[in-house]
Amino acid sequence: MRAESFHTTTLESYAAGSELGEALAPCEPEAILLFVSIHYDFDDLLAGLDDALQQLDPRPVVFGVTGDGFLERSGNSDHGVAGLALHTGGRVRFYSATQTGATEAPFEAAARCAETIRAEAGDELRLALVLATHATDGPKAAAGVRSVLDVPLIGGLGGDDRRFQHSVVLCDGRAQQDAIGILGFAGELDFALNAASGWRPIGTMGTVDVCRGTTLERIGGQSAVRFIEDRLGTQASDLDLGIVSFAVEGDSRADEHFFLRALAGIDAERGEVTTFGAIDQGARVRVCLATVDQVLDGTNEAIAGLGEVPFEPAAALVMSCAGRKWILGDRAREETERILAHLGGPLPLIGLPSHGELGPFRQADGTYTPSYFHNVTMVIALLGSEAS
Amino acid sequence: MSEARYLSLVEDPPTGFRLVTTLARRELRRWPFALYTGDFAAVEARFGLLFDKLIGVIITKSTADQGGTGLDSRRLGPGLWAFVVSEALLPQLQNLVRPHLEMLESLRAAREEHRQVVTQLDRTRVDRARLAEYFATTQARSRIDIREHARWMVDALGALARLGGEVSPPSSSALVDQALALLIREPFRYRGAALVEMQGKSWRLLQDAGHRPSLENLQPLTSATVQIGRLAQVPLPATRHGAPRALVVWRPDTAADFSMVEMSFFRLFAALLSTVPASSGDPSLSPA
Repeated sequence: MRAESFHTTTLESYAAGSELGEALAPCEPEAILLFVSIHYDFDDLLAGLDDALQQLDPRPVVFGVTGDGFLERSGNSDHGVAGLALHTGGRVRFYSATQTGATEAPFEAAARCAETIRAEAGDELRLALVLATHATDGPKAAAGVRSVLDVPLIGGLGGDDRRFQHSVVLCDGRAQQDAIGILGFAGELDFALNAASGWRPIGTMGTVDVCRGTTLERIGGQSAVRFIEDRLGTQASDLDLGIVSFAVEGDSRADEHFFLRALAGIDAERGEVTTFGAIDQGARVRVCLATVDQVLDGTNEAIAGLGEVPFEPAAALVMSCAGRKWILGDRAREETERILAHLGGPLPLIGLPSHGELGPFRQADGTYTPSYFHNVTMVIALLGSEAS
Repeated sequence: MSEARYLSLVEDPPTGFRLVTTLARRELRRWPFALYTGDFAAVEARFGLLFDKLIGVIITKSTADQGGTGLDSRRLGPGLWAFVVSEALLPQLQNLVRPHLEMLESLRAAREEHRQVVTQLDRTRVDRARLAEYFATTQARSRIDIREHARWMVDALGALARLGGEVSPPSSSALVDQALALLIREPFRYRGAALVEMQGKSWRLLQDAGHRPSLENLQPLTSATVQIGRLAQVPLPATRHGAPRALVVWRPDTAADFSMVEMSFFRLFAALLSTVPASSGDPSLSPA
């Protein structure tokens, strides 16, 4: 696999697309992944990109989503577009599909989209990149894809410039709102995946007794708010939103990993809390917190957890929660720097400041847990296509 | 300005113009351009929908009907102009158009700068609004914290005052027992509390209540009140006789450290405990 990444902060849409295409065309990509801020006329952006790639036959698959800016090996920004070009000489085949209606029926939209990918890629499918617009119910969408595809999933929910109003999935030369998209990687793909957050559990575990959707009413025999406050040792307030999170045990009790659901709202009067993504009744949860340093420790843990990578990575793809970026503030760039330092050089890399992440944990034996929907987490994927 | 951006759809193009046989959208959209054509209508038919987005000049030669010896112009879009020039001007066409194109290039750059500034300003506004929200919430939380701390201190002092009446008979051992037990109950609800004494270079437990804290991580002899993980170590004021002693309080497994209010209370509590004679002076205070 040969890869190249590039970013531009030019805001004139056609020019930005052109700059990106001009920079990535020499790689002769078969697929281009895009992480874009919300500030563009996407028809013009894609037209600029397509025009700049006109000498390529066939044209690459272009797939992406909007987020709160981007990460790229040579810089991060709140606005602009980052692209990752992948050339595999035909060893990897890329299949893309989108489905609208992801807000209203996330499971069904995701499953239909996944069925399209399965029909095209068949048994050769190795990995799927799942991207959806911000209002999609992440856990349900993930379940929808998992109900059809039996391969590791990575990806996340898109977003905008911290307003939580708009996002689009980019696929097949179109920008679609209220959509889920899947890019299937089939054939001789090598990959290494992992996820970590840096959030640390505090206090004892509790079982979710009563919940409805993303609202938790009672945990461990207490109101959800009391459950949290007992562990915080202080009153829960809006200051805790996006920071205090629930660690939710994975599907397998033998699996030591947990995925996170961050607090989205606190109703002190009713004793209820809401989270970014539902937690099932009966799930065992712990309250979690992280300092800035621990958030960055999470980056290290995600990288270290990749273990001994048995191939030469050609590119890195990162989905890192926008909430992490907001907590890290001026230190947000350190996430990319730590990844690149670990990989020993400026490997082509792009990242999405996402509004929910999708990915498995790599286990000690090199296998993967199921692909969970996470909050405040970083999912990293190293890609290659030549076994070493 | 690159010469490549002077394009001609007419064979034998004007000086400085490059003949293009197939005009691609990219050549008109990527950079400001000057396009010389013999058929404006054909260009309009193909690219008319983009006129609002193009930056450049479309040039045609005036016909015999139009007459004229100079240059006529009209605006086709925010950054797009149509020039009709006389044949006499064609040899100088590039020189004629260049200043206009350079102005358009500047316009394009200024627009981009404007977009950058507006976008960054928008972002700053959003971030500022979030920060203001955070500040307001912090303020509200601080008020609650102050109220809670005041209430806690009132409750704590009340509990301490009641302790005096409960101790009967007021022997040293019973007083310490009941004092430590007080810290386990409401309103404190600490996980454990202990009185320790320095012997040689290590601390030994004298009495405790609730869960017994590990003494391994306690600081060596110190006059400061310190937090060690979930433990607070509070030295008792030194007495003339007896070994140094300290109060150790173990908080529940919560994220919050001991507050300043709690630490202040512990110092007061330790001062009261210091009035109880040390073990060497009171056989009833035997090591646990």
